[in-house]
Amino acid sequence: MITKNFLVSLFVTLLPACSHYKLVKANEYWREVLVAPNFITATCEDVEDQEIKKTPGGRFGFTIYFINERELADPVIQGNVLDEEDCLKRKKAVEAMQRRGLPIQLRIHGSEDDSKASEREITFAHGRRFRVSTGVYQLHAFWNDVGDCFDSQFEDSKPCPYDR
Amino acid sequence: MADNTKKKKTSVKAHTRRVPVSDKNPSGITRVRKHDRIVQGPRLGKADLLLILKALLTENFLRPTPDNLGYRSGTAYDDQIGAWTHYFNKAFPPTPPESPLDPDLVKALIASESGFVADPQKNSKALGIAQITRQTLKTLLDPLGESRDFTFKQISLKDLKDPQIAIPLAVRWLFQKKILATKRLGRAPTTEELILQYKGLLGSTSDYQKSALGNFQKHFDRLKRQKKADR
Repeated sequence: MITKNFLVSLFVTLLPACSHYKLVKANEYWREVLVAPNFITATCEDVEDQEIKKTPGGRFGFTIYFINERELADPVIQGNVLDEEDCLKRKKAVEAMQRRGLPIQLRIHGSEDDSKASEREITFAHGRRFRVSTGVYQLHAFWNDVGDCFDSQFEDSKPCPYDR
Repeated sequence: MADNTKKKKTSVKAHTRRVPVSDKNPSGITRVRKHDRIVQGPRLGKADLLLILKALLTENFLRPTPDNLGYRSGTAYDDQIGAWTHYFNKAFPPTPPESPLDPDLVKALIASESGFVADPQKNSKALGIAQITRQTLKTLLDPLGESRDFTFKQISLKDLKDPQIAIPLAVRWLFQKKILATKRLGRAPTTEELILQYKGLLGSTSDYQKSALGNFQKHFDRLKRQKKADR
């Protein structure tokens, strides 16, 4: 069955590469980018220090990767380590927005554009692999045009995104 | 400067203790009655913190670089960060050739942890501007625990949403993390190692660890560049 998501994915995949990414606004500290849903992925990585006592609830680092205009995966992290529940909450919020098939806007702290490709690669939807950039970015919030929004600190409370 | 360094007592609840098996204790377990214990170090409550801060603000101390790092509240806590870094540098003087704790380090850490958001409403696991966890608070309140040489009292999780409480606790915790990192590494930690120890990432081999450190360094480097430019 041809779904809306399939059509959006096909559309985005067949267009010139830069159509999956748009810089919406930027200043010297932060920027907002609009990314096609299949060019974003979110991970919850176990960051437990093996030499210290296990933390109840676990310790996880949340990272969103999105493909920039140079076809590199920019890593955008939640600045503080989370427990598994809070990390998965964020991952699920990204996945829920992806299922809408609409572009996702991210507000991120860090506007440098001199990052290079690292040795690391990450897999996105449809098995496509991209090199991870050396950029370092901190997540403020992500949202779409139909009112879904998730702030790194305030989660889905309104107003979202929270104006820092 | 107001201080609270008089020796105080705390009450230890009755508890069991393992002892060598003997005729007197054939099970190897003995019962210890409730008793008092001398508290080793200062023990500050909320009122103490506010009084100390008021006194500190009349002193000369090094403040962090007045750059907001792109956050609306990025300079709102500079005085408190500088004051408490100064206070704890005196309480825990560095052993040369180590340097005192840098207030820019504290500011960059707070930027990386919370973006200077004092009261992230929905997060109940780590609270306040420095994202202090329940476990960390418990340790900082425990007069018999690992940070017993300087603890706090009668501070609740809800209090951590007030930067006037969260900042001194975070700075104190940084000093505790420095001690732990020194024991672990067998030497004084570098700035990066101290930050990783604070974030619980020193022994982590994750990709996130590298990004988290890079994120802190980005803020810290910006403060240092700005400080140099301001001279």
